[in-house]
Amino acid sequence: MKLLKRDKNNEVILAPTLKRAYYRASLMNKGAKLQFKIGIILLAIPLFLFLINLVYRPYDITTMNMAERFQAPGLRHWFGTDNYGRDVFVRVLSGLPLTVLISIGINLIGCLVGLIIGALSGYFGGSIDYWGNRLSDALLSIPVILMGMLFVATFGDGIWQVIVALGIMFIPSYMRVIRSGFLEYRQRNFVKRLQLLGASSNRIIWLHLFPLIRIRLLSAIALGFANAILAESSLSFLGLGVPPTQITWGGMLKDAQGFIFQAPWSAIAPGLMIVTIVLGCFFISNGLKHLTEKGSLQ
Amino acid sequence: MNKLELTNQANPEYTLKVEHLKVVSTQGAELVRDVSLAIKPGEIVGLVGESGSGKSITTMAIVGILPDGISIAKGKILFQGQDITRISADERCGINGNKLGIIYQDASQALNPLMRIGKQIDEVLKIHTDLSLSERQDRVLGTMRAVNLPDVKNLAKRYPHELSGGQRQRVLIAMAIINNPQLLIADEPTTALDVTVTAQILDLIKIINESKQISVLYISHDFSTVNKLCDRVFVLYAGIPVEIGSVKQVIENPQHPYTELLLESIPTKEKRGQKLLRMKGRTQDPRGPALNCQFADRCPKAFGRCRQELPPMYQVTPGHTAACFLLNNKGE
Amino acid sequence: MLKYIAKNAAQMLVTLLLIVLIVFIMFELIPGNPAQIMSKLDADQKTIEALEQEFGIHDPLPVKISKYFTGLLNGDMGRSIRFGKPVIDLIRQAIPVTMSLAIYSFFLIVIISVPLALLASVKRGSFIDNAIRFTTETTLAIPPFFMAVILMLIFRTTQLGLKSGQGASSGSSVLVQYLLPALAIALSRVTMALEFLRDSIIEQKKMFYLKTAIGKGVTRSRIILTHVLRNSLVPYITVLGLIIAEIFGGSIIIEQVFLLPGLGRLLVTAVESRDFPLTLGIIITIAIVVIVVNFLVDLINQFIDPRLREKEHVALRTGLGAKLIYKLNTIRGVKK
Repeated sequence: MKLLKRDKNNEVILAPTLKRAYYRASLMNKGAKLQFKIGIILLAIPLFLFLINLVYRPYDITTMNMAERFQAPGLRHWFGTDNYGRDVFVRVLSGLPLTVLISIGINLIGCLVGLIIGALSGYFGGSIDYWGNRLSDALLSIPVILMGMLFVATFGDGIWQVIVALGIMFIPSYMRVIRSGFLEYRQRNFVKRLQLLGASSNRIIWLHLFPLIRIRLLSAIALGFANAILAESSLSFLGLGVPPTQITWGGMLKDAQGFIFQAPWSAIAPGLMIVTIVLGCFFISNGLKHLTEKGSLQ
Repeated sequence: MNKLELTNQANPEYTLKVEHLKVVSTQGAELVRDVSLAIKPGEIVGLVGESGSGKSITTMAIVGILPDGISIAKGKILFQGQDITRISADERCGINGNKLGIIYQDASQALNPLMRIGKQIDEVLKIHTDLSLSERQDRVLGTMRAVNLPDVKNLAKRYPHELSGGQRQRVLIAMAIINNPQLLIADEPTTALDVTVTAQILDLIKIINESKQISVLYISHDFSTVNKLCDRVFVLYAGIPVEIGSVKQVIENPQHPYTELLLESIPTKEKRGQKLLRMKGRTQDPRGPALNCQFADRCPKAFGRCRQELPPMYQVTPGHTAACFLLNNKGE
Repeated sequence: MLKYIAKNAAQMLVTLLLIVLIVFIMFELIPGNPAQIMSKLDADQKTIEALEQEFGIHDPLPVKISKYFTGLLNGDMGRSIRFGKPVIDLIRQAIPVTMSLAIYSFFLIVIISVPLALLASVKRGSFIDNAIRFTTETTLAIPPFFMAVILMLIFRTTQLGLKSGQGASSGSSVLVQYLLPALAIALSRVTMALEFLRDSIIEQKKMFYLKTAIGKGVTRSRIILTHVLRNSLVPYITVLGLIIAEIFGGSIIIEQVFLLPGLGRLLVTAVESRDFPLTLGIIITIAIVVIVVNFLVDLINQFIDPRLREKEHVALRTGLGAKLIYKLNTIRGVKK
């Protein structure tokens, strides 16, 4: 730390440029905070609507009302109605818990497995690293959605199938984030000192190195959450994965396509819901990313 | 056409004349305080100083590559009689590479890693001349031979990372001189090289200077190379010249304590076995305006006045001046 | 060079083998008799047995894999259950649609990202830069099928004469016909390319060799075009290679939206009818294309940056790779 500080003074000639860079960095940190806040706000919107919907649920999800087909958004139907006269607002929000749960499940699998493989291959290197990389190369050259489809093709439709299939596809990206973090730190002196002191690899990995990449991991999780929602809704849009009896945003969009010009709102509402949450996660991930950078600046 | 007229018309006595140059940053730090330099046609002038003395900033000001947030506050840079401190980007492009060549210190960084050597040298001709491809090619190969590059035809097709450090430096020199400029600025061209290659590069610069009558501004922190190469030398400290004179005058009879200390820290045959002198401290951070002798804090001979006033230039012998109050006392 | 190509080709085969391995292991995990599942419940015992025979259900896994793999090298991917035709023929029929869609959206991505990245990097930190970045961040959050819906709504209402719903059946030229689907894919995938190019340009602009160029009297525009842009290409091309997989993923969905008879629709049919050989064949085909494209990307990069050809500069290559992957997975915003 001291070294760096002295460096700052050493570069007297470049002090102005350097200062400018620091000024920029501080601006960026403000920007990062802003991004984080925007992300929280974006995520709060669907949550808020969901809470309203818990209390205020004037219409049933499935009851059809042909008299009120293709109603435009208004006071009676906040998001309008679809081709069967069902209220889009209620339907969209009833899809929220399932989507969130599926995303959490996917990321739980991806993160846990990725964490273990990534930590081991980053810390030990060698053949674990080589085969880990080959495997993740292989997985990355299949588009995520394809693996989901393959899984569904073999195991049939179902929520668990989707979670497991996409969870597997999310392993490599987590693995790489964590691996690069461990690679970065394993050469540091404090690790060597710990090794000399006789600390077990397990201890070094989980007690000393893991906390250093915590925020990075959080940032990756926020991103993974967004990507999981995108992947799940893509599958549902194709009519695969989550059984059609369950309301999913992808499924709603698929249905809405048939009457898109009569009732565009029935496509836009679930679409906007996806975009809001995904964008919110992106912003949070970005904010966290800068938090790490700020942390490593000192 | 226009350019030609300009040069003829001005017919200047000096190739480059810097008058009271002052370079500041947006924060108000004075990086170059008051530098005046003059280079006659065919002359090799050395600019010597520690890192932070402002010699690099002076060069950057001349070539027009000052970083963002650093600008010329005062003074003129007359190149062949034309003030180039306030010229447009187009005019700058007409001067750089055409009448003014520059060699940087780190040749490994100074060459575009993804472009073939020949093409990089050729780029100068492509911009500044109307020669045909084959004419340009001949001249590129000819210049490469002139800077003693081996096997030029083959080498022209190579990439910078395939060359040795000395070869890269020669390529830079070839690039700088291919258009027969009036002035060659060499910014510590030998720092990254080993001793034998350094000597060759210095010889090369000398030969170019003599054969083509190109003036050279040689920037260095090393008096031994200056001694070998230069006619006159400017010693710079904290953005101000502290001693000016011919190389002979300055080296044989240094007047400013800073010059003395610089010279004493060079290992020579006479000093064999003795401990080399190490100067205390380092160059001060250039901040506000200079109100006293900037070297006073590190100077072994400093006295009261040095800390109160900025010393003017005192003449020692004709052509040899130094900014030190000790000279004033001697005069009295 | 030849040695390198051979080495990479070998690595490609290993990756391919791994994909087949993964898929077959999954296949192995299916509870019950796969042949029965594949042929649906109404199939009689005879059909099931025939299927079992054909797919070697009772073979041990390594035999199955090696059989499939040797078949694959001979251009044989088995026979589709649903259509009763060789898988390779079905794929051959569908692939032009998907390929042209992918290539089209790939070019759209390049056309959109290069000028915008140049603009953003030149005007770094300005309003324009932020606006470009914010917009692309948003388009990244829009899944391709929703993007398609938005585009359909926009173009229908503004009466541009694009028969978006009719897809391949309309007689207009391919460029017009595929514009909306390709745009839908490109817009939701352009972000990564744009950001990489922008960051790469900004990084190159800090390089010292540009000072030499200024010293040579090279004009600003020429510096940007001949020095900076070219030198920024390596990370950009690498990321384009990675995007290819995403483009195919997007294409599968978009074909469904616009009813284009490509691999995507074939795949959905295959999955819905539990047609395992066809599903596997399509997935392998796409994986092969992705792997080959990335192999080409490596070659192109070596052509652009000669340092990548040398052994001692492997560090540069892997360093770049690590950086890319780190960025890909964690950042989508500003860097430092």
